[in-house]
Amino acid sequence: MNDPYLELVCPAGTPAALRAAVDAGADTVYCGFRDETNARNFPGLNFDRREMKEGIAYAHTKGRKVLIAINTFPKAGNAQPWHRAVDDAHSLGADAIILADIGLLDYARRTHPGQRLHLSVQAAASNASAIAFYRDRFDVKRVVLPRVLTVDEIAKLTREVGVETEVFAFGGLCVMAEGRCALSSYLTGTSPNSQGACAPASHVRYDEEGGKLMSRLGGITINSFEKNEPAGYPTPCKGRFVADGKTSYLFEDPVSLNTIDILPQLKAAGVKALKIEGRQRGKAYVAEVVGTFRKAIDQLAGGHDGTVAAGALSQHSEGGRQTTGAYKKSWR
Amino acid sequence: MSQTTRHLELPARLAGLALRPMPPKALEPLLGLAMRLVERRHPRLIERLAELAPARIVIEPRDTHHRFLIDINEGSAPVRLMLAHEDDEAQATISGRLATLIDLMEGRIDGDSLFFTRELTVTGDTALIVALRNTLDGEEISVLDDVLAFLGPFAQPAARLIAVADEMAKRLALRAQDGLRSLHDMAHDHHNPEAEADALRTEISGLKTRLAKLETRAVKTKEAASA
Repeated sequence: MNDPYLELVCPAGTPAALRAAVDAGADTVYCGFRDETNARNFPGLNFDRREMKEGIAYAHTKGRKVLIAINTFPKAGNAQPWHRAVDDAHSLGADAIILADIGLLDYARRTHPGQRLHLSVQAAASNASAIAFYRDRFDVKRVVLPRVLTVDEIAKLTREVGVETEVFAFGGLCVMAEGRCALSSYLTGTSPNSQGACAPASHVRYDEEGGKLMSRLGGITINSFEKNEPAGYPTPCKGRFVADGKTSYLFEDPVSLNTIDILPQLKAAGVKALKIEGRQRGKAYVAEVVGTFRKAIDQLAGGHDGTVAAGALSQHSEGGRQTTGAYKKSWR
Repeated sequence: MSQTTRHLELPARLAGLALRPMPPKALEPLLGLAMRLVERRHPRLIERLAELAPARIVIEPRDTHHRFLIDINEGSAPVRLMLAHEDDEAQATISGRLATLIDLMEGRIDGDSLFFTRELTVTGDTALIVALRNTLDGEEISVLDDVLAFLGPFAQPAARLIAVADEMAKRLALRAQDGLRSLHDMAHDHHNPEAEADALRTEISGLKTRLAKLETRAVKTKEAASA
């Protein structure tokens, strides 16, 4: 728990992105199979079994690790694809499997006793009792913390739980009900928890109307952008809605998390690993974000933190804006 | 240097210069050649694209007068030039500057970032666009490397030639920027940026001609070898 090394955990939606992440300095890469067993089930994305085997071999050759996310919740009465994914992840040599569902954790632990397991953010375990349950029952070695905690709360939790903690360091934000949000389902019939896709592209439309860019999800207008205004996805939680005659972002702004400026605090809090969000993003994003964080972490390890500017990654941020989110929560 | 980090500005610039005035009849065979190169060099890409079939996607480089149609079928994905007033009947359209579209194809720019900053416009079937983007991004494409591979024994001199020309193009761009910055001093300056730009254009044109000759020789050599 006192290991001072901050592990950089990076996303890969394709084999090319995996290689880009490794080459840019990722310690660990996380990815998923090409089906609804992972929470980034987008068209043209993810790995078939052969690609996963090749990706793991590439990472291992360079001394890096690969985690496989199987972090959606199995359909009632049809857990077979999820069980098969766990079996394949194990036989392909995943360094850890990231799981959210209790039943699947139970299956993985019983079927593959030696396999290292991590708890996905989708499990929304945000207090010591919940994390202790997963630790004691399924021997989970690491928990990915939901993005609802302050740095002080993370420090306290890390001291209490006796497992490694991994926190999000960069990328898109959710409405802090991770693994429990059904907003997307109301508009499209699919959610990240069941089908692995929030606001699926099949239901997204962008239209130019009257000089504005209209973004729609399932036929519902989620946002409109002026000519040169930075745009965002039509994620239902990030729409601009009218309430009491006032138009505003009711739930959440289109803005991305960036923790470059608070890496020393996260390290001091005892965090083991920093996670970059974005398996749905391209390899150029992966290479640049990973490279920037690699530099920042190395400088921090060398006692020279603060020279990597957070603004360096603003072009990769939704809406062109960045935040430290709940880590420096000031709204309560 | 890896394919994903190799970045020469000249191919995109030359492509932009060449495409703008190029008549459709001259462009069609070039497109055919490019597609054959892609099929030969990236068979997995064609396999992956087949998963999207049947699909028709229009590519609109805003800074040229042309539109292209990708017609994705089982086992092939021919690209053809569209007629000036042709109805596309496509499921989706991607629009952006030619250089941006080439960078996107080569995976040097993140598609989402381009969309956030409004450099890229997509209309129609967003799932199809996302699938195409992810499929292309999963492949390591380099237009320059593909062309050089086609040139065979002439690849090395051509690469040197392109590197020199690319450096000149960058210098030209830098000088243009400097010129803009000090525009208010220009009236009192004997420096003649237009003449200088003309001279550089002439040099680049010469280099293009030499490159074209190398390409022709490469074709002839290959034909002779296979005869």
